[in-house]
Amino acid sequence: MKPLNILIVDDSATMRRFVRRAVQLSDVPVGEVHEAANGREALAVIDAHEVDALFTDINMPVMSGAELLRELERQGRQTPARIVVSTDGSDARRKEMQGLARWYVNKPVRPEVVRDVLSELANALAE
Amino acid sequence: MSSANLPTHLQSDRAALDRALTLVAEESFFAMVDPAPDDLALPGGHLLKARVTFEGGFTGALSCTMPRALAHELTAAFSGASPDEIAVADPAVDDLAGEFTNMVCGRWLTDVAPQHLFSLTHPSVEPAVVPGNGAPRGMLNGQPVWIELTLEC
Repeated sequence: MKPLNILIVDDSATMRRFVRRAVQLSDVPVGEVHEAANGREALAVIDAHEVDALFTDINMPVMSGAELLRELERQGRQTPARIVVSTDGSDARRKEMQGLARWYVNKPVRPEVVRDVLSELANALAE
Repeated sequence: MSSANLPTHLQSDRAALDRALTLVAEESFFAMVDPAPDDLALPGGHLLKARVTFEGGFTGALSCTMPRALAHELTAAFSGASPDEIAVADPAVDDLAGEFTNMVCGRWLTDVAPQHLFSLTHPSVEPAVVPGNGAPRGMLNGQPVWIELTLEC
């Protein structure tokens, strides 16, 4: 199985560190793990590197997660696979993200949820 | 935002704040929340106050005030590190207090207004004194946490 290259986008360094740790504990083969503090930084990473999975917060300064996902849609990019990680678990937000992200994970994030998402993605890519 | 969007039960539904605090503490920080005792001795040392404002279905702000020592303890728990590995003055401790408040605010909004979209600001974190608004919301790992909620009506 090819290791997954991951990008974690969150304006909180603590949250990025937490997701990174959950990714590394997931038992899914992981290659490069990149970090970005907002959507604009994330676009630069995606342009410069091969990224398989993108974990993104929604509320961030400079460029929000929703703006990032819409920009990726506008560019017609099929990859990376998109996972929203947000404190906002409302029906309204989930509805807004439908079609923009494959998974929606609520904060507080449980490491087993990250593991399940990455396993599903790795299996899908292996098919 | 106008008061027309403000759920009428919000001002009295303080239990929703307790649910949000408990969920965040237990699920992300493996910390237990207990009621504050009546005879609480105010903590020594520095306090941190983190504040998040939100706008959407209605508008307001939520802040959490806690001892820096607690934020330090939670930072270690969240990072899977030993407290000895992280300095008490490390900026990660301030960042953690902000993220903690962000999570409590997000869970509270999800609970009380699931049909509304909200934008939350990046948390501001600053040194604080013991809030003058009464008893702590609860005790996390034996240390007090105050939550202050203000709504624009």
